[in-house]
Amino acid sequence: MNTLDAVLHDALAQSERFHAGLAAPSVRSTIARKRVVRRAAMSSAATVGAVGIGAGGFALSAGFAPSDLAAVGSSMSITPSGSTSPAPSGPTSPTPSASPTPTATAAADPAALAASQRAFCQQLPLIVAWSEAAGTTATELSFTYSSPGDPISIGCLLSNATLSDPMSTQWIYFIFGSTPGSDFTRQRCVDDKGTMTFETNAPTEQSAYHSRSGIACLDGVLVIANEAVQFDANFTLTDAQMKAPAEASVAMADKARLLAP
Amino acid sequence: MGHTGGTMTRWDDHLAALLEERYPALVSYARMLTQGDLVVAEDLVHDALIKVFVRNSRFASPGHAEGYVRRAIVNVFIDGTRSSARRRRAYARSVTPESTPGPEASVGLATDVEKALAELSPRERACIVLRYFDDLTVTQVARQLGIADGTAKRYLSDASARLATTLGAEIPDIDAPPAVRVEAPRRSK
Repeated sequence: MNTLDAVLHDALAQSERFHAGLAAPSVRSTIARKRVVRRAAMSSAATVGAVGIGAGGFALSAGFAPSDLAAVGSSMSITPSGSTSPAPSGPTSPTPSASPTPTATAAADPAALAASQRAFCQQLPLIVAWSEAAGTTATELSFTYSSPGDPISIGCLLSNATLSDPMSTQWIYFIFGSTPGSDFTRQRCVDDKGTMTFETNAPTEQSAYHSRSGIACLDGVLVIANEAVQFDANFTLTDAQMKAPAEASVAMADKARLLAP
Repeated sequence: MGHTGGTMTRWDDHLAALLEERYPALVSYARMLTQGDLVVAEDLVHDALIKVFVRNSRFASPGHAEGYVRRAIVNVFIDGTRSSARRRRAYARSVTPESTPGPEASVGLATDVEKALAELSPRERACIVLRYFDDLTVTQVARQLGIADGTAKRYLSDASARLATTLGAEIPDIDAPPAVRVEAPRRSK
C-alpha cells in the first residue's frame, strides 16, 4: 500500500504533466493585473456585502443603488439613448461631448454626488456601459475596446438569457485571450444561484494574455467592468451595441476614466 | 514597478523565467487547493505572483522566488476563505462541487485525489498541501497558516486519516521529518 504522501505527489506530478503545455501569462499582463488587484483590495476592504469573483479576483459591491450609477454617469461622457427609444440595432458611435444624463445633473448636493461617484467607481476597475431600465432583458450585447498604449482590441459577445431578472444579482464575466492572431475566448457565467456555465472555443489552449471583463446586472443596472485596462488610462469603447426590448435604456460611455482613489 | 521598455531589471528576468518555466507547476499546485478548478487556480497563481513580486523583488533565482510564490498561493487561498461571510459564500460558490465545473476543471488531476481533497475544509486542504507537497513540518505548517501547532496537527491528523481512507493509502506519520525527494532537474533559463 502506498503512503498518502506518495499518492498525493503522484497526483501532483500527473497534474504537472497534464499542464505542461499551459501557456504562461506575460510579465506585462501580470504587471497590469497587479494594479487591478491592488485597487480591488482597497475597494473590497471598504465594501459591505461584496460579491467575490474568482479566488483572488476583484470584488463587486452589491450594496449600492441605481442612483449611484446615475451619479457616476455625470463624471463620464455619456451618450444616453433615451429611456423610451428602441435599442440600437447596429453599432453605436458614442459622442464624446454628449451631455450628462438628466438624472445625474439633478443630483442635489455636489459634495455628496462626488463622494457617491468616488465610492462607486472604486468598486469597479472600469465602468463602460450600463442600462438603467428595470425590467430590461438583455439578450445580446457586444463591444470591442482599445486603449492607448495597449493596442489590443477585444470583442465580447453576450448572448445569454441569464440577465432576464434584472433585480437579481447576477454576474457574468469573460476571460479573453487577446494574443494577436489567436482566436480564444473563454466565457464563464455565474448566476445568483451559483450556477455556472463555461464555454470555450479552444479547450486546450491558454491565452498568453490574461484579462477579464465583466457584465453584471445589479439592482436593475447593467454594469460592464474591465480589469485588464490600466487605471488612469483612457478607455475607448467602440462598436458597442445592445439588443434588448424596446423599453430598454442603454447608456454608453465613450472615454471613461476611473476616478482617482 | 513599471516596465520602461529598456533593459529588463532583474526582477523582470526572474518573473519572466518563473512564468516561463514553472507556471504549469504553480497552477497544478494551486489546483490542489481549488478542488481542481483550473480558472480559480490560475487566479490564485496570479494573485500570489503579484503579492510576492510587489513585496520582494530581490530574489537570488527564479527557484528562490518560487518558494515564496507557493507560500503566497496558500495564503491567498486562505485569505479568500477568511473574508466576510458574503464573500466567503461567493468564493465557495466558485470552488465548491455544487458549481458546474468547466470542461477544463475535471481533467489533469487524478479524479479520486481531486474528490478526496474536495471533501476537506479549506484549512485542512491547506495543511495537507503544505505538509505533503511542500514537505513542511507540523510547526512550519502552523507558522505558515498563523495557527497553533496543536491546531495544525489536528487538522493534519483528521485530514490525513480521511484522505488515506478515501484513497486507500497508508497514513504517514505526520510528525516524521519531511521525506527527502529527488526532483528532476529544472530547466535553467
